[in-house]
Amino acid sequence: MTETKLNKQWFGNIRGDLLSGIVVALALIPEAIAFSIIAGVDPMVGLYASFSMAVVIAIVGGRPAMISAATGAMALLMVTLVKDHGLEYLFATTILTGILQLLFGVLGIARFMKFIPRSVMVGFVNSLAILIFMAQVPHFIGINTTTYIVVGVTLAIIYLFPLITKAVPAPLVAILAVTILSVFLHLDIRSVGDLGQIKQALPSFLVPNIPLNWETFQIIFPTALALSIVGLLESLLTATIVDDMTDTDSSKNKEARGQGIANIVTGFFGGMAGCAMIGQSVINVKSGGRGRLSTLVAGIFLMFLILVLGDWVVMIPMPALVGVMVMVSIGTFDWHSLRTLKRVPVSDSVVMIVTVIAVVTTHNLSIGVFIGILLSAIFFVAKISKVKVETHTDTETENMRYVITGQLFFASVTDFTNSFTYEAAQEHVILDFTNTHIWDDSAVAAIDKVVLKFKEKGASITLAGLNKDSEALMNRLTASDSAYVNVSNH
Amino acid sequence: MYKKIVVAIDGSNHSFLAAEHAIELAKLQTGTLVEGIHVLDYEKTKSDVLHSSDPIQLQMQREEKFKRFRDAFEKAAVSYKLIMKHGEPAPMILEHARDTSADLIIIGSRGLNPLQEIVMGSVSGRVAKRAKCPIMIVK
Repeated sequence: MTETKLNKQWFGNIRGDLLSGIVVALALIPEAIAFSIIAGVDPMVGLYASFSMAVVIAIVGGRPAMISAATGAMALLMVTLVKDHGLEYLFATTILTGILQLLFGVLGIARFMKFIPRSVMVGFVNSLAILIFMAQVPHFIGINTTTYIVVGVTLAIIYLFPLITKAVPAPLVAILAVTILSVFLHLDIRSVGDLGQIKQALPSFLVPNIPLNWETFQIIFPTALALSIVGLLESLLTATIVDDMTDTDSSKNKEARGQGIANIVTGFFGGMAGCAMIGQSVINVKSGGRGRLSTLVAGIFLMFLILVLGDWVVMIPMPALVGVMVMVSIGTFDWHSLRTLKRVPVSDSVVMIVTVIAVVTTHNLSIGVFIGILLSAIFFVAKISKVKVETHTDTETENMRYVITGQLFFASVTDFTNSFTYEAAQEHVILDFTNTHIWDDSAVAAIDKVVLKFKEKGASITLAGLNKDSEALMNRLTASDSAYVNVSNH
Repeated sequence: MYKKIVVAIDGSNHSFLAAEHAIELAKLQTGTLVEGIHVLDYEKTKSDVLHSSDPIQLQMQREEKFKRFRDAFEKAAVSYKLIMKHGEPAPMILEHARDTSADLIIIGSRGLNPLQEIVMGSVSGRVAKRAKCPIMIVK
């Protein structure tokens, strides 16, 4: 990259980047704390992660102005690991996640993104929204009436405050108002302090205190793999969204490598694995952020706020965070997909819904994505496996001409072979392959079978209209071409 | 008297009506340029990206919304430009009108999103309030 381009990515929009970075930092704090609580770790783990992810990705990321931090998608994947094995294993997992992502980036994972159908991506965001909402339920259902009221007040402020001004993030205003309210009225609700501590200290470098052996690897690898895939998926989706919003392009593989590096650093500084965030990145761009500086400012200002305001952060009532998370959940869900459910092809809707169901039942986004991709691959195969054989009788020569239309491969050969009747006494048969393509050995074997059957009935056969690839495959795979009278190409 | 007319296009029928008014005005005087501006709302970007397979297809989907406007301008043989910009509708329309020193802004009285208009007030209302040039709201 040329120096001027990099210079522009950093300092092309200083005023806008400074302002938007501050806005994002303010909006990040409640989310980082809430995602820590989802993961079952101290709020500091999410806050350190958000600081370190943002700062590192600002430098090594591929998409300027995109915000990476602790996220819900990642937090949800680490719950079991944290519960069963504890924090040190989470740090190790974060580092391994980073190593895997770095590897994927080096191998050029971005080009495989196009194999993920949009219905799977829609299912991904929808199930993420549902999981984030479900994670809030224990924090507000059946605790007490005050909790319900505070959640309601928080949501009301979040959605109504933007009518007054959009300069300050509404969730932050809601949190501030509700915190003050609860402190002065001595409300009977839980606060962040009940769930963990806030350390007013910078993160420090530490090597996870775990045995470095095969057993440890077996514990952390499955989670790290899931984290690395989900992290890249959300990050590259976010990058595409930021590309579109800013009418600029970005390097997806560089972003994948950057996510890897950021997670490695985060793991060594006591943070949980993170990735890019759609919501925060949209806030950043809307607030005028365009360059790398905005992401850096967001990270640094977040840390500064924690160092200064740490004592107050513990006073934030849990129901206020629940309110913010409900907003995040509503914002994450793709409502458009409900409206188009009836308009898009049935198979797309099925893939989307199955993806959601798979995620919600397993609580694992990567499993849902995997099942979704598998299902849409099966649908695709089913769709293109329709093969049609039309019969024409040549009036002059009385030859039978079978015109085959469609793709000939393992999934379509049964229909293909069943399309022929061998009864009529036919002297000469022409199989016309002009409108088809032969893809695999199953197809060649099926043609073999048809040809032999006709020969048994005493007919001679011509294969016509094979395209170059199909013919090459036929020649390679038919050991005894005695079956064919002649293979011609007209 | 209007040499440069900015007309706000969101794809709705109201905005098409606005475009027709722009065309009629432009026909009155040769050398009038009509600029149709379509503001892509930031809030809709996520959904747009999710529901398209790649940026090229997304671009085509968006161009599709422009089609009947483009046809109408072509048929009337007025000189025109169609512009797509990301941002918030009202401020972006105003910014564009200011930057290109437009003589007139034409905008439909209602747009695509009735719910948002109840809560936030209409885009046309906000544009009318803050515009620095004459504005025509088409009913």
